Amino acid sequence: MPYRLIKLLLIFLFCFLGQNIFAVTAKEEDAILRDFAWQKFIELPKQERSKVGVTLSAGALRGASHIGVMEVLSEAGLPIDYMSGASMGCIVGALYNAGLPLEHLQHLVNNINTNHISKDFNIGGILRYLFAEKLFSSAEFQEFIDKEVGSKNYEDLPIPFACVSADIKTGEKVIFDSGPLSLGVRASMNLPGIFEPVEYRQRLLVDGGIVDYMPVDLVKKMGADFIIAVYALPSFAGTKPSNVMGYVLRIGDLRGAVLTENSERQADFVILSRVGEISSSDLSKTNLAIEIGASSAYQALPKLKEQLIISGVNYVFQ
Amino acid sequence: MSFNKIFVLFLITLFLPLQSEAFLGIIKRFDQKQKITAAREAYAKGNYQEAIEIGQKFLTENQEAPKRRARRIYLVLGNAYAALDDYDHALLTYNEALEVLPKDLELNLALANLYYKTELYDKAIEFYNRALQIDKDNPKALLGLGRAYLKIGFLSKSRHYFKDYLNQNKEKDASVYYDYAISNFLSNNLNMAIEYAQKAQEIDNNNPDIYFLIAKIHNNLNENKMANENINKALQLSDNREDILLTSLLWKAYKKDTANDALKEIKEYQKQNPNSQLAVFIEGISLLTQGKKQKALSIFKKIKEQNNDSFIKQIAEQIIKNN
Repeated sequence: MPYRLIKLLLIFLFCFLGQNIFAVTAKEEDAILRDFAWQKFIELPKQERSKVGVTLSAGALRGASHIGVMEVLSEAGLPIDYMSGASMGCIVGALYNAGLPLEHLQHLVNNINTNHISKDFNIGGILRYLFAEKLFSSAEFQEFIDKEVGSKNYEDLPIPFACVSADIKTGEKVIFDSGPLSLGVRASMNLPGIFEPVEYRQRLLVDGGIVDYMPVDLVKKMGADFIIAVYALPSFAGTKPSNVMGYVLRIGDLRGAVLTENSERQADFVILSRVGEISSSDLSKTNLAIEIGASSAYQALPKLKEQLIISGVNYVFQ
Repeated sequence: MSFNKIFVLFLITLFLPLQSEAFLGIIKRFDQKQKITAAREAYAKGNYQEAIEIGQKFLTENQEAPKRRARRIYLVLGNAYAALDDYDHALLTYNEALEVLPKDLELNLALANLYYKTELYDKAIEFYNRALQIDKDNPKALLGLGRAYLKIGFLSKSRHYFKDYLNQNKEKDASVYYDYAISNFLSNNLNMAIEYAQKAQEIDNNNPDIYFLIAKIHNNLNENKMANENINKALQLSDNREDILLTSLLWKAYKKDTANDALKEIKEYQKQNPNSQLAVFIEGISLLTQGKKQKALSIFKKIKEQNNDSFIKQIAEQIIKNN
């Protein structure tokens, strides 16, 4: 081998071995610091860190994905100081906040049937709906919630919680943050055109998703200075609803997509659950929705942790 | 010719085609079995390409082969593709096989394992669940679900399946104990995490990852002595693996009594790793812990000047901004 070639080879080897080829990557270095700082962050006393608010969007059965999201946030040790929700987001938020174990919540959502929601989902009720234009009652759902949480009031919840409903007479947003939990939850998910409005203090209340699909503003007003918005993403993708319920839910989703644009801007962090392929009324897909929620939240978790650590950097690295 | 002879000849003419058909059938079955054996042997010897060629030929020539035989050849073919890292063809083969044999346990498991390997965890979960529908306590499916749910971060489900698997399988496996410990560690179930990490350590006491995990659990429990002992052992076993070393120095830099040692060690580390941003950050943190704020800020400024958008840089910038 010519001398010059050997020399070049030696120079190359010298340069190559001079570098630490086993060095951790920049991404791995970030992960080491993140894991370390996150542990410090979650150990901080409440007064030394950002007040974290979580808001859960509407989305009918797609909103079951919120259970998966809450599972991931809870397992990560995320401190939550305030919560809000609309429609399905209100149901999940209320039950989680009332202390129902997430596994039980999964079981409930996977096994829910129409009898838990209304006594009118039968031939008589459907005939009345079609010919006497009488909407279904959602009173059973209120009883169902009471049975699960034990007639709790908003004031009894460990995390301050609010959910949103709409007055069909005035179009006003009605906020529930005190009084019986089940009433607010029922009013928040009371789909207009399907369920009869809930009569409450001269108001006729329907699903809150039509006025505030993802109530970021509620947790902000409660005092949160770091807001995590959880959005059960719809997907229109040129598909046509297959029934009346599908059309009603689609209208809600379309309106929701417009409303959430503003809510997303107000939030500090948005978790998008990619559940668009799941129909809003498909009871058989709730388990899948929960898993998609968990997986979406887990993917978003590193970035979320980083942003929270940055918000409390002075306390983490004193 | 007598009547009897004519009658015998008549019978022979009548049954000959049937006999030849049966005979051909026997030959065909024999040939199929031979091909399956040849494919299996080629696979067992590591001649994957040969196994694929035999398998493909078998499927082309024997489209009407009985399900039992087709199943065997599909498994060999799929496994051979997977062994050659040709995952697209392996997935196609298993999926095609499941169209013919949807209730086959081994095929469902093979496909689930392949989806897991290719990081398509939601699909892996779907096929492990199908395997469980066929055999409700199948250990491979339970373990697969435990691991797949761990990967997607659905930790309660992951723990649930690991638990089921461990309840049914008394065979001690360090990697299963380790994964179960990880699942508990990530959920802050630190007592369970330490219990299973130690079980893993009892079986495999030369594995730096297990010592590293135990160190992290002790650190989160604020048991500093145990954390240091285990991280030192992990460093020793891994010949100073960098992620373990940097974690160890970060812990030291954060504590007043060890911050100065961390400063000296990280400077040594920087000589070998001049591009490590985390090393610079650790230098800054050890100075900050020792109360040398101005010096620390000048170090953080070095990070700020770097041209990237890392988390470390964002933290350094925020510290400078707040001071």
